[in-house]
Amino acid sequence: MDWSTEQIDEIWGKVSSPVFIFQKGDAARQIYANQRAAWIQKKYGSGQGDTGDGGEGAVCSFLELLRVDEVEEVRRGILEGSTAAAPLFCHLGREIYSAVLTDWEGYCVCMLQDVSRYYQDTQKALEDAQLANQAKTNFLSAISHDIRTPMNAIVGMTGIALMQKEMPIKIKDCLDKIQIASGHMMSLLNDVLDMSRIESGKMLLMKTDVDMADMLHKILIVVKPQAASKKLNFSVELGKMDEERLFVDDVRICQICDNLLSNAIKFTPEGGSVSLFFEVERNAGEKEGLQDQDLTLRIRVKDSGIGMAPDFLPRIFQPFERERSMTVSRIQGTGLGMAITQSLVRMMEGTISVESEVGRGSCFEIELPIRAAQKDLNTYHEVLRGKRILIFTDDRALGRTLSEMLENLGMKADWAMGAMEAVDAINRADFSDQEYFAFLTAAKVADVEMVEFLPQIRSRMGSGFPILMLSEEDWSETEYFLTKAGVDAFIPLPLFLSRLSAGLYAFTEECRRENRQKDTLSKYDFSACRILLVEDNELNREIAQEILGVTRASVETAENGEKAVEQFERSQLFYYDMILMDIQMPVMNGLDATRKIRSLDRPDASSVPIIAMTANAFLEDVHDSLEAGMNAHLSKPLDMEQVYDCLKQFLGRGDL
Amino acid sequence: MKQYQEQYLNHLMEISELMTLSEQLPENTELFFKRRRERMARTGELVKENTELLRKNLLPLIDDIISAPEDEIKDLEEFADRLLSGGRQLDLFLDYIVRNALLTYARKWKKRDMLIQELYHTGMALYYMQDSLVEADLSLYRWKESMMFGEAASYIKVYDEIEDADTRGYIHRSMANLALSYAWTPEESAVKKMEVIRYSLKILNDPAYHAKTPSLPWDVFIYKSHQERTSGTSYLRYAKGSAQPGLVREILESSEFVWEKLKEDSKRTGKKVPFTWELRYEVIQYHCGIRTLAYLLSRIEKKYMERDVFSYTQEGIECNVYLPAIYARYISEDENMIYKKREILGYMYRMLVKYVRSMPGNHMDARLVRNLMLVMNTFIEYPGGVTLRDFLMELVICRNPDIYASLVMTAEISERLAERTLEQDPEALSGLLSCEKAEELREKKEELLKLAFEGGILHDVGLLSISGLTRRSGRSWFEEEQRMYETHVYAGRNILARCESTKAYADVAFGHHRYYDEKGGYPKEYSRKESSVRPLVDLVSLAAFLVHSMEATPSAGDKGLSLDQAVELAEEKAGTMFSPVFVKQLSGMKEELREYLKDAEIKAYDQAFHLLQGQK
Repeated sequence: MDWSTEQIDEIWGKVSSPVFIFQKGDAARQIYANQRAAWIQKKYGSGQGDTGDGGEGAVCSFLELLRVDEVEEVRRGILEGSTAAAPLFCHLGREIYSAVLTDWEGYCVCMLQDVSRYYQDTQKALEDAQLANQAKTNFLSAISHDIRTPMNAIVGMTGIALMQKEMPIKIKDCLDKIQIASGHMMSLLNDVLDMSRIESGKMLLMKTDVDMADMLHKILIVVKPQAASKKLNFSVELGKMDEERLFVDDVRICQICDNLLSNAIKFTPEGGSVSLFFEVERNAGEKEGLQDQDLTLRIRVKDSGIGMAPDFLPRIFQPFERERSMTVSRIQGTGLGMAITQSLVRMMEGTISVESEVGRGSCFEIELPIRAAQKDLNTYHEVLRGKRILIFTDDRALGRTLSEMLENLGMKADWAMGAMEAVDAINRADFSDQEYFAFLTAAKVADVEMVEFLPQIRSRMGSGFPILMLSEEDWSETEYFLTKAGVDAFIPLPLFLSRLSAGLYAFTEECRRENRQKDTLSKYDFSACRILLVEDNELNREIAQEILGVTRASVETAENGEKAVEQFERSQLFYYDMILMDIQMPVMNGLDATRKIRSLDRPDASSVPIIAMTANAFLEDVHDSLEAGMNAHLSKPLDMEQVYDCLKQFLGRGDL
Repeated sequence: MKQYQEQYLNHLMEISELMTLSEQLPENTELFFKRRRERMARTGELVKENTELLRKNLLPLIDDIISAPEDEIKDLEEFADRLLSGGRQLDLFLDYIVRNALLTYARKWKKRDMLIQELYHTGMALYYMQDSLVEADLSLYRWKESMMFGEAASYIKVYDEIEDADTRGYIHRSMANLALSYAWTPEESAVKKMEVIRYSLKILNDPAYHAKTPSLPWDVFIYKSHQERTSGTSYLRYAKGSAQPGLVREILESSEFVWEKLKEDSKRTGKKVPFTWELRYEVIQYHCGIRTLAYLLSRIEKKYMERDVFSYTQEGIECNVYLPAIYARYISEDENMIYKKREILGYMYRMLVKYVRSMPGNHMDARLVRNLMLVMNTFIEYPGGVTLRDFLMELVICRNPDIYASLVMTAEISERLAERTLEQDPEALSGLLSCEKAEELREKKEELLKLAFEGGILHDVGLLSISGLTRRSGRSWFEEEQRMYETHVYAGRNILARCESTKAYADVAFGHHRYYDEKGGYPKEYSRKESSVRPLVDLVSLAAFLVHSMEATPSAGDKGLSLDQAVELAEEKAGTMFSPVFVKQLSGMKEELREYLKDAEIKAYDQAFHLLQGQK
């Protein structure tokens, strides 16, 4: 129905508040203003047109009074015929009006109300709140930092205290608990500090050229022991790896992964599973041959844990939000981890999404736009091309990946899934004169003990033949045994082409030549150590002295157990760093000498490492030597590498 | 050889005699028992002396083998040869260790001829070690064997550089023996084995090599390779008619070669072709489709019916014991035959029992034991017929009276332990005989006690497969021997799992060395939680521990621990090694056991001798 201006005025002219009426449509057109509205138009407007009758000449003049940001909102309100969820504020001169838009008979009625006082009060409250928040952020940041410093001392000193031997059980128990509690506190402080840095805008991304393999290794070193201690089945899966050298802030990416993974571990009951997926995919443009280096890094963390209720999911990324089940189950946490994660993802202009089901587990997926690092063209491929490798693993997926990667490097690979098959391949290669360049083995193969199998490979293939082991474990614990068994080097899993090629290249003649040029220094330096060598056989003593001489350790000798005990007794406290002890000796044998030394009333008597020097010992001999207080045994004849490894293991230093 | 080496070997011979029962069974068990303790004490002394001889002389030499003078090395080579001389295997594991040391020496000083020869000998030692694992169905040494023979054989590449004819012979022998390291099953392994034999035969038949080293016994090498190929019957049986035609042809070809050679020899010497070879020829003819199964069975039946039931010669034992074993193996090829031939096989088993019980003289004859093991491997049970359980308990285990006595005592203690548990804490036996509640268990008391007894007597049946290791050990063990010993639980499980009458005890054989808390012992594959007869395994493990810790062995000397000491030890290990429930019962029955043990061992030996004499 069309209304005349008079009819409109009949209804709206008596309203004391300013009222504007607009014709709806693509271009909102003002068709009426009541008296109060006309007064406002006149006061704040340019004065154009006749505003008194609200006629066509006054079209849009109210809108012209508004600030640019306000015009758009009011225009949208007019189009829709109603005010949005939040009130519309219009600044007219010093006054502030709230605009209420409502639909009336096909028109849009805009009624203004002076809210200047209320608005100013609210604005003040907001500013006060922002200042307070900033103060809180600054305070938290400062206090977190200041608490962290002494906390570092508490954590560090507790660690040192725990390393002391022969500690009363109660004290050890207390220290263990301090260590756990201080660990929790440190992680809380770190979260608070990060959150306050993000809020205050002080957190900046530090992008550098990063090797994807190194980054993943850093993540796994932290996460794997956590998963193992909860007896979780933890797996890592790699998707496409279009680039392995990336230009990213690896510290922050590691932090994101740590947060997601530690949550997954925390909320997955014993025996469950947690998986980490990594993928670096070249974006479509790049694939079509464009020169762009744009990539997408995709990270997925999935668990079979307790999951989250649907009503909690929208709040998961809000600071200090924790689902009720987490608090009920007393799982520790600040509730900041996910907020930090989301903030970091946003800073990297990425996205994070989550799917979860109570009792079934959760899955977080992150996509980050990243760039590849500068191309590092290496010469490995050229050198490795054509060489033959024997792969030894019963893990089909690993075997396939390895075969493909070696093929990409231009190498020839045979794959044995069991000991018998591997020996068979070596025999064939020998008969056909097609020798292997290296033996690439998994850490475990079901049908054979590696420590038994690898020495046989070593004997057969000779000392110069590279034996490389692929391992996803932290091999520092087993390195001594495995290198003794014949392993030359380790390649970490999950497998990256860059690591594999570098690992293999290290054993090529080309690399050896490079190293010879670079490194003329001795490999080990134990010049600060003093060793007591107890050996009755003069020739053996000379050989051992010669070997030990290369380590730069100072070596003193004793020709039987009795003399060794006397020498040790006479020495100053902690004078000797190690005793190498033959077992069978005249006057006093090695076992008795060890017992005597261990029973001496001096602090270093129990701590000095005593290493037996034996060969094919009976079961009870090995047992006897340990029972007598020896720490390990070296096989005779002494092997240079073996002695170095032993020194390294017990003296814990030496690598230059 | 050095004096200590001679002395060591003499001690080994003496131990071998001390540990072997004389041909005649003792008339007075008490006297036998007294002498046994004396023999054990003497054996114990010799074991100690031998260990010291090695510790003082041999091990230091091996420790520093690289700087050993050449004459020492020569002596060591001779010593190693003597350790395995004439297939007697005086000390197989020491031979293996010495060979390894000689290998190290040869590698270090680049003595190629010596290296090749030692690789061959080490391969042979490994072959013998692997041979003991047939029952256990484990392949602990195959890859090492292949490594040794393979490396020695690879010197064929530099054949012309090697001047010594013997060494060239070792290269050929290693190449031929490489086939020994492959099993005939699965097919993949059989294919490789045949490939190796084919390659070896190609070289052995190459006139160029004959011309290069005319002094080598080429005919023997070629014959032995064909002989090895005829053992492919295992593969043909496994493939069940779908064997690869190429392989079948080669096996057939070798069987014809061997058969012709045997006939020629027979003609020349006037001696009959050994019937086991005749049988193998027939078996290959069957597998290759030339003859039917019915024909093969009729040939075995004919041979069996022609046997001399009183002959205990090699052929007599083979006809009376080996033939039923082979007959059972081949009727099990066809379900219908198992049914159709049940009367014949049943008859063969009855006759076998009679034959074994009537054996005069040397009841512990190694050939008899070997053939009885074959019967055990192919045993078929029929309702109402001889069961594997009775066969093992009454005919096989008693061939080793020491093992038998120990098992009978374990069985009787298990039974007593079960009886007491049934009275005091019956629910500890829940799950056995499908009974859960105390009343149900008590109702089946007789059956339960029988179960405990039989579990006890059969639990170590796997030891029969490595009796050489346990009986002839003449010094402290090396780790490798302990490892070999541990395989007896696999062998025991495999033997007992075959038949209905014994399969309830397979878990007992498999799990009796695994700790109660599963944190120690062996094998790791045994899961106590998953075993349906875990109370029985717990009970027998404890009884066996008690018996073993009290018995006289070479290592324990003339006596072991006292009952009080043994029970105390078990109490210490309650909850870790043993079930605390059964240890508690054991502690409460010390007096009863003290009374029982007064003459238990003598009675057990008595029982063994009765069985050996054919009495039940």
